[in-house]
Amino acid sequence: MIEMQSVSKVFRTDVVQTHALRDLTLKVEPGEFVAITGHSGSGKTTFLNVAGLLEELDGGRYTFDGQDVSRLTDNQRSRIRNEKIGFIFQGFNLIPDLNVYHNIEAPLHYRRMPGPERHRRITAALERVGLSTRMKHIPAQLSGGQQQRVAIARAICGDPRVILADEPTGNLDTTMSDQIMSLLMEINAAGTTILMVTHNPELAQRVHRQFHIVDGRIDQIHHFKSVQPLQAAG
Amino acid sequence: MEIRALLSALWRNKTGPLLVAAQVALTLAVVVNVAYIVRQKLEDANKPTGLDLNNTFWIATEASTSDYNYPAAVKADLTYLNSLPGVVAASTINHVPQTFSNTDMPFAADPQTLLNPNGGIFGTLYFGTDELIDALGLKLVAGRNFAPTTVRPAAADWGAAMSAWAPEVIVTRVFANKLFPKGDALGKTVYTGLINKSAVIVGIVDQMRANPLPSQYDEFATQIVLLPIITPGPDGHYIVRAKPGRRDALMAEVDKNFADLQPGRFIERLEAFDRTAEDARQGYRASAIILGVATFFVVIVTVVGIVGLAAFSVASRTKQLGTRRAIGARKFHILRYFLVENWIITTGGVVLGCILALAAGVQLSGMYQIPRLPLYYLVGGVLMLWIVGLLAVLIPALRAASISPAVATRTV
Amino acid sequence: MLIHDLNLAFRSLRRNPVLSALMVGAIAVGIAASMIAITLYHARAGHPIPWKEDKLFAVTLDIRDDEPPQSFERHPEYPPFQLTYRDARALYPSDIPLHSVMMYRSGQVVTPDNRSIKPFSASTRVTTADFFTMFDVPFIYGGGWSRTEDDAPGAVVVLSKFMNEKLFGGVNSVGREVVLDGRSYRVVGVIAAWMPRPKYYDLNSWGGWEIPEEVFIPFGWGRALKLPAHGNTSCVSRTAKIDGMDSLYTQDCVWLQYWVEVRNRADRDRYQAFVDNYANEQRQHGRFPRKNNNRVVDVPTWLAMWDVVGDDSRMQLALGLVFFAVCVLNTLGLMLAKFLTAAPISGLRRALGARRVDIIRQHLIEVIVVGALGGAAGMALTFGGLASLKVLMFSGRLAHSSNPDRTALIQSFVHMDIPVMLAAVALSLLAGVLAGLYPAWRIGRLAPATFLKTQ
Repeated sequence: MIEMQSVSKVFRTDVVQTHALRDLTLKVEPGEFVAITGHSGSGKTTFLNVAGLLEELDGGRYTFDGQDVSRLTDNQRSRIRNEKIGFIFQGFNLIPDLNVYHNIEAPLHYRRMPGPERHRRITAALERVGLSTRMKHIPAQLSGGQQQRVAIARAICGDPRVILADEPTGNLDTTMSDQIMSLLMEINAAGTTILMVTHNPELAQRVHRQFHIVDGRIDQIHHFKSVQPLQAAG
Repeated sequence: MEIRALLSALWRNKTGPLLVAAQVALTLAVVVNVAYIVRQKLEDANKPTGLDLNNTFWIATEASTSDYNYPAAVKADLTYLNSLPGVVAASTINHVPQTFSNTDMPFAADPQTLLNPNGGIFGTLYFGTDELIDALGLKLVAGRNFAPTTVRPAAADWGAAMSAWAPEVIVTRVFANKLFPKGDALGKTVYTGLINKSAVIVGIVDQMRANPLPSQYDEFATQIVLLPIITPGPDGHYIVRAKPGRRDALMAEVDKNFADLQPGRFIERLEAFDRTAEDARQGYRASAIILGVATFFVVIVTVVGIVGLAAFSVASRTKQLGTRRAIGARKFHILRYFLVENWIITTGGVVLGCILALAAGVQLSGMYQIPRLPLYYLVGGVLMLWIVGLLAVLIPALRAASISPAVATRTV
Repeated sequence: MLIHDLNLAFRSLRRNPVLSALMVGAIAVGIAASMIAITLYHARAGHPIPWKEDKLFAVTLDIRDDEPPQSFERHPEYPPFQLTYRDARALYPSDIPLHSVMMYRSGQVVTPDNRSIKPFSASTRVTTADFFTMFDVPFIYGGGWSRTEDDAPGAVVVLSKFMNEKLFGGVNSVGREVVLDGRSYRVVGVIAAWMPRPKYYDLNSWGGWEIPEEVFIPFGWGRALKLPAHGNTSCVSRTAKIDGMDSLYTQDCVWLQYWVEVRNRADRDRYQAFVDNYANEQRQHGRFPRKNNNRVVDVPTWLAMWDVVGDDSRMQLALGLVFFAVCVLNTLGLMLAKFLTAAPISGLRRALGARRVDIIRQHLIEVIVVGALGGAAGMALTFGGLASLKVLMFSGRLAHSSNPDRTALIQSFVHMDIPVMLAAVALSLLAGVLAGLYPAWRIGRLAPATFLKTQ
């Protein structure tokens, strides 16, 4: 699903040049649930940005879902993000002035989907995350866990191939974290590949594989389980 | 296009947009009405006079002794002026046209009408010699000029001048048609109220405007009657028309020599006719300019407001915009969102502004006695504000569209 | 505390110079527009003689034929503003008023003693004696003439200050001779600098925006010398017949200004009754065909009837105020945006112990500073604007003016006097407060924690 070969990304300012990613090579199979770990400054966020086509890479090659996406135009990348990738952010990143329904609806508009189809998918996604009764609420009226669930609904309503999650439980307490992890594992069990950046070692061990990034390249790879439907812990 | 989502987001954060809409509304009301009034004023100030202003000048003389022989002076003055090389024609005149002083009286084709309430039509009177038409630069379109023998010499005073009156008159076309709607004014007799005199219309000139600006009596500014009468003294006015390019030299010569040609008088004023006409219009033109400039600045201020709101909107929504890009919005989508959002705000202002503009228009037409604001001004104003609003938001919107999707993953 | 707040305010403004410049600029422009409009309006809307408001009245008689109004008449309900000679003469003997005056403006040629000065034309007021006391005309030398001279006048004249300077170098010229239209008059008085704004006693020329006459002579000379009436002569009766100045004294044509001074408003009412009675009596002789519409009006009403202020001034005032409103709204928006963007700093301060009222106060001070800066810049713009307007609107009239009094009058049209300047100060403070109250309140209302989250 995701295959990177010797990918590098450099940030240049007037003064200094930072190699955020250097010669990074990895491969993620369809249906896998992988965790990306590393200290702050190791390049995990940059890795996620490149993996999610949020930023261009400078060197190397990136194959996504069988397509070489190393050098695409901005519009082409947007299209892939819209149709094949679902994002979940540490801060939820919901649009504060919109209610739950409109938040989830947002990516579907960029796809020119007719109204009834949008409605069907949104209601399905809300049911999936268990928030059907909160359709008209605005984010400020929801708890952290509820907000993240809305974000997950937004991520899955477009039937993405991959979900990229950036510290999805970082702003949540233990109970909510467990809920979110369970939800993600259910989604993965249904066939969606998930890449999750985290610095919670406990969470990192509940997945198929863990990649550890140090100084912009993959340092270690841990195998935990083979690619099969995972069981929720406990 | 996610219109419903856009509208509900706008409603949840309505203070800024309402402020901008209010500015747009007031600006529209101002722009529309001022444009109309300025147009009216400039139109009024630029109405054709029928006179050859650029080649003409006038002289006002006043007696400095009580034994000033005005009739003899007039005769000599006219001979002198008409003999100067470069002069087309010179005549006496009672009032200088295009100033604010004149004399008008009621006229009628049928003397009975003059006895009725509001009977008769007012005409503005100008007295001169047979050179008057040429001195003013008027165009004769029917009939003939005064015969030199009909020109009445200077009477002892106004009373005597009125009693003597004159057998012939020349009128403007407009006046001829009003007095004789069947179009057969030439050769007919016209009667004057207040002095109970009559005269025959021997000639019709194309057009002439007496007053420089519209006033209460604008109706009869173009209804003009010329009479072959030399105005009684002792103060005199002469109007002199020069060949093209010769006027300034002639004015210099007259300034030097004219006063001393006759003892006991001095030149009270010597002025180029176009200068006179311009001075009369100065206030009007100035008023139009003031209104126009002020309105321009009002628009500028509103543009700043729109740009400010848009810039603030982009800056405070940076994270949101990055997220939208992350979930698949293209640059075009972001741009379109801002343009549509701005258009909705502007249109809200425009709708309110139309109401204000019409209300103000009704007020102003009552005040200024002008007809009601024509609707195409409103349409023009709306279009202008739409375009201005669009241009104002363009740069902030382009900025917004260029926000990188990577902004979504930033944690600061 | 105030110094600290001012410090914070200035630092905050410096932090974002473009935005601060825009806010100050918006207020400045709004102040300039409204102050220019107010100055122009105020120059025309003044009350020239407020201390005599209950005593001084213009007299008008509705002598018009009973006919429907002409299409061009703007106020057909108003009677003619001037009187016929016949009616003026009839009203003059009444003992109800303390003073009465009938008068008109004319022009004569002055031949100075000094041969080096060429003869020139001067404006003359042909008036009965009470003019000077009624209108509180100040004298530097001598005085007017008495009522007895109204009809059999001595050859006396009162000069304006400028005329006295021109002819006699400004010395006490009482007793000296002045030649008007070739006839010799003896100077009995010289009036001091006098510039009623507007020239309310005769609004015929320039709508009252003209200097008073330069020469004053007794009324009787008008008829004796057939001095022409420079003003407005209107024959309101169809049956009037004009042939020369003489007929103005016999026919029903209005051309004279007529004023009375009474003791108090009660006497004014008595006088009104007297005037109406006269009209009733005349009606029986076939004159005054309409119902009584004779108005004895005080100066403010008189000025309103003549609409001395004019449509243009009113429109400019309205535009100026709308402009001000747009600018305040604009600044409000910018201020709100600025405060909300800077909210985290306020949140920090609140976390460190500032109370809500402290935050509001700090923001209000910042707002007032913006208002003050905008006001100062606005005043500079106003002066510049008025100077440009003087050229734009009046350069023609100024060029023609050889009289320093007239020049001073025209300057006064664009002059900001003290009350207007105080209004400017008040206006800029108002602008600042209006623009800043809501944003400051909004900021104060937000809970500190709102700002301290990382999102």
